[in-house]
Amino acid sequence: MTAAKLLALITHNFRLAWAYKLNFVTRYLGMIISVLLFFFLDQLLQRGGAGQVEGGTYFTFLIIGGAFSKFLELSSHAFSANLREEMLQGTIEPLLVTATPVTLALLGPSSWMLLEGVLLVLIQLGVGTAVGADFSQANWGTAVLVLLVSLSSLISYGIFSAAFVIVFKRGDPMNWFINSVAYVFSGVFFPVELLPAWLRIISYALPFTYALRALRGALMRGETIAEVGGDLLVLGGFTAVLLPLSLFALRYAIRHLKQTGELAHY
Amino acid sequence: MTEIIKATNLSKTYQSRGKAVTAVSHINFSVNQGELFGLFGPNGAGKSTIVRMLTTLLAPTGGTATVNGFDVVRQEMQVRASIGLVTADERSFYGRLTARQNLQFYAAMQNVPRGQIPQRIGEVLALFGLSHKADAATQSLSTGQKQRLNIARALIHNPPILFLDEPTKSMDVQTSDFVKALIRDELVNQQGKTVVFISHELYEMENFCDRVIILANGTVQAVGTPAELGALLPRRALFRLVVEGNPAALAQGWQALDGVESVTEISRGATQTTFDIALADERVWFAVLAVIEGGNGRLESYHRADDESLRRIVAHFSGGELTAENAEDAEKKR
Repeated sequence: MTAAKLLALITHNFRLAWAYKLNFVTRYLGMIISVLLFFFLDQLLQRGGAGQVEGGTYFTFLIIGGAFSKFLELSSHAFSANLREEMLQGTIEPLLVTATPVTLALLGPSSWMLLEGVLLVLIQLGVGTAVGADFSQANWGTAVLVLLVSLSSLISYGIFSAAFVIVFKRGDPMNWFINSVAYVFSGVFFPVELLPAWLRIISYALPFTYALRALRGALMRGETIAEVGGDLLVLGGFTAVLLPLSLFALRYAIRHLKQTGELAHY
Repeated sequence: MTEIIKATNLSKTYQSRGKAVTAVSHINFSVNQGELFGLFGPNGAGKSTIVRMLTTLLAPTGGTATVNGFDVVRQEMQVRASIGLVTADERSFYGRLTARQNLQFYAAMQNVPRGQIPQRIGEVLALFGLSHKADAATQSLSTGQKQRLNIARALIHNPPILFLDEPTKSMDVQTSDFVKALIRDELVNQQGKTVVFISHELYEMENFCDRVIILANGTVQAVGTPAELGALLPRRALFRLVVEGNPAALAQGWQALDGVESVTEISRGATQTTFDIALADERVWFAVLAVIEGGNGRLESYHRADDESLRRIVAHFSGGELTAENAEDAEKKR
């Protein structure tokens, strides 16, 4: 039954996304345009005599960083964004009186957005390859495993974010954290080694840093699972701590919701 | 009779800025299977809080409640599988999607087997006269059509119990009558569903509900059929009379009678005077007439300014004042 519901949620949310066609198309168009931005940025740096970054071209480095950041943004923001949308349009209550577990009813509407995140990553990598990104050394098996392990860690931030939206309606510190701190300190657009040593402490406290490093290792240098194993272990550790904590926060938020009856408030 | 809904000492207290606010206090009632049960009370009486607790949207702070035999706290999923909820707010749809797409989604969420979904959608749309709107975007539907679709949505999984919270609020009179007839004839009489009908409008409940619960300030004031509730009333009566004759002498004669609570002169014309007379017992009415005859007066016209409707019952149980003026105003609104 849960699988059937998940499929229904994905279909339903794809239909909703497709119903706003301009928004749907521009999202994909934006992804392609960002590839061009990275390409010309790389061209500029090459004129200045910039060499290779982490064993590959800067363009390839940027493509992976850009794709991952989109994935990061969607997976961490999906739950809260969809939840708030449901609250605003008044569909959350009818959904919560269906014979669906509350957690699935609250988080399930984001399932399409998560899938779309994976799709957008693949598109960016594909377009990047067509324009000159070099994935000839890529170990795709390792890359997929890194993405899956990263996803479980990123989802924790998304669940925290949803819990904040349930309780506070507006004001989502997780979203702020991802959009500001994570982008600067996790090596999305430049290697974290460029940061001063004291700021690098922040980088190493973020799971995204390890996810990106492992992903670039797999895609740019063809590293095996054993070679990125250290980063995967750290990511697993983050997940082991963050996932139960985020689920606990969500359970608290649902209890708060049931006690206050503030579901329809926004 | 099987009790399909049962509330025992059900209570809800909210915490608001450090203060406890009691919305529902120790209420007890039950609803029988196949009954059309009215939940009536003025705004703030606690109706919606009760419904939200019975539909698992809100956790009680005291007491227990079962719906279709399932505890609303410990067996939430079973309760939700047994009910359909319609609120006055018709925003329960994804406006850009069609009626069919919306119903497909809710059907899947309600565990309707995939192969049965198209047939079930066809049935509920036909029931509410919306088959021709199946592929129209719900945002293009009129308010009344949306509200009918809302009830169709609540019925998509064919639940035995329906909670209808002011379902006819945004409908015109004809649509409202159509929907109420459908609820009574098709859903209750034919399909044997139990319907809890919530409203703060009495005319919605009269001649419609089998039994009514009257709520005020989060407590139950009375439960029963309209006739049972009426029988609980003291036999007080309020008459408005237009008489010819000496007003002062008539008033004096009436006030001297046992069982006359008050005599109020409302207006005086050249030959006629209008009075309101409140009687402790309606049988005193004959003595009132005798005073007119004995004083050589003439009764031009009269009417009962109160009546045996639910309005009077509510006025009695919620402590509201009953006067000819507010009774007539309410009558005009009806």
